[in-house]
Amino acid sequence: MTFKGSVNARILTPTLIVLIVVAALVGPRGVDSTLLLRDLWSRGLSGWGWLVLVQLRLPRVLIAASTGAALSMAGAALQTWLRNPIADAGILGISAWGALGAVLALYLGLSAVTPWAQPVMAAAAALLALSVLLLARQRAESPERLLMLGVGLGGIGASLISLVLSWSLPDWKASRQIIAWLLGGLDGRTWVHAAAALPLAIAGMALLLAEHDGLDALRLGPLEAASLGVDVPHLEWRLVVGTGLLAGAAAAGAGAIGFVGIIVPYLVRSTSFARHRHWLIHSGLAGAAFLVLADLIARRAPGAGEIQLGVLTGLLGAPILLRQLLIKQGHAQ
Amino acid sequence: MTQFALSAQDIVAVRQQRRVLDGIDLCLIPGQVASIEGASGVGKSTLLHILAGLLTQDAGNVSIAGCALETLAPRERAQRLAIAQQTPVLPAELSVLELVRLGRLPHKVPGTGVLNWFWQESEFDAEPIDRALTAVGLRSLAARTLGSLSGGEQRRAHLARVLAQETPLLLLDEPTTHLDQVTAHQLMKELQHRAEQGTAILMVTHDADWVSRYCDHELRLENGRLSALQRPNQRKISR
Repeated sequence: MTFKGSVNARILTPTLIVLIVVAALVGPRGVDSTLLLRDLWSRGLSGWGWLVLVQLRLPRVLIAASTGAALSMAGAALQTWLRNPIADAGILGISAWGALGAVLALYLGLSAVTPWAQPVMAAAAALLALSVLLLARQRAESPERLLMLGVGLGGIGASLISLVLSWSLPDWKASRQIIAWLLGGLDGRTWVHAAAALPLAIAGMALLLAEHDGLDALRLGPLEAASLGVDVPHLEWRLVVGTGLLAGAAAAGAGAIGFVGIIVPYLVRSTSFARHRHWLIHSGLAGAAFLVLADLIARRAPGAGEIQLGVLTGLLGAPILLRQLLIKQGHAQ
Repeated sequence: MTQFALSAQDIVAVRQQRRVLDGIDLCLIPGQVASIEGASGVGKSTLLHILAGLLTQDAGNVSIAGCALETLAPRERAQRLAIAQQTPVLPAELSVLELVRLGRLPHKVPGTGVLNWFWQESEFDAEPIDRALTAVGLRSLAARTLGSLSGGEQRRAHLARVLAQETPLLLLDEPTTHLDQVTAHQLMKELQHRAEQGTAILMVTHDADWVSRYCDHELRLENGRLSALQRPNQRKISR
């Protein structure tokens, strides 16, 4: 399943804009969207409709877009770096460590002191995990081995999250906050959260985009990249910082969201794989559109309440990943 | 005084407690074509990688056009020498043209990261890419993905990527392996043409026929040391 010959920025950009507008105008299930439109039409900027749109809906939609873009771009860069099409922040354990940083900020009560605590601690923990991976890179003979190291690293991160969660159980409010956050979602996100997550995401994206040439060469392996004049150790550190910032921004903005970093770059790779200048931008735009749409579905889905966004991306993403693995296995046999 | 295109003094490389290279001295002047032969595992590729700055030697010095290799920035190094690996990584999804275009990366005008986005291949870049594709006979397959090519065609695509770098020094590891006679001849003619224009070429090869027809110097690597082979050389005789 790929969008052969059809995905490019000319299609993705208007699609994303339309989705953002629709997602901002459409509220949760049970809320009549026409009321908001009527208020906006009759009272303009002074009505409650404008307040709902700007103060409640827009930050949520922007965080969804930036999280989708961040996860997808980080996934694309990691897939090139490790020469593995199923590498992403989730598989490599980076998201688990980002989540651990954010959970610690919640458990220690730091997120109540400053909105910056969660994104900064999430990014710091993600960077720590990536640095361990980079150091292990010197010893790991193959990308597959590094992937296994990442899985192990993720296991440690997940265990530490469980430990923090078990510590927090006596405090019902804190443990509920942590569980809700771990399920991944955008409920109750405001400009405060956006102001904390967006700068990290923008910085990470700028870092990766600035390295598009190096990434092009790195696709041929570190030795070929070096022979093409790329300072490989320098590039790898920049990739670590860039993807760490993106994983941290995503974890802080929307909690634990899985599979976006694998499936989105995979879906757009057939048309824009050749140059990272295109692949990164297309992955970012498609990832943003995907998560805005997923959040819209999560809000409007039938059931007792909203589906948590992380649950939805898992339900959508896992079958695509399984399909990809089965196809690869079929080719190998 | 002649400036050497490549100069290596007393290169020592120890791998797994074995002295693979044990005091290698080697000089190439611009326009010279030399070949290295030797048994498998004797250290030919290791030597080539050290000369290209991709592996670090345990002792000795390498200079490219009078500059110590370790003082050159990676980009400067890639503007002065190109290396064709024996077993390169070739992503199946990449097209031949995209691969060959990467050979122009060292010559890209540096700019800030954001401005770099908008870099497109200029006319200056189109010519070396075209020349390289023509040299290996892959012009008609430029749009094909590497995954759809045969082993020999993939090898040619890699060589075109190396030729597109248009450096004054070429290091080639088994350039004619997997190539048919016609393509191998075409490639060697191109290398000869480049040598006549001043490119120094050092190649690892077992193909005695090509060596005798196109190389000025034949060297043998044995027990960690290089020695000159005394064999009549057609190209030298014809000069």
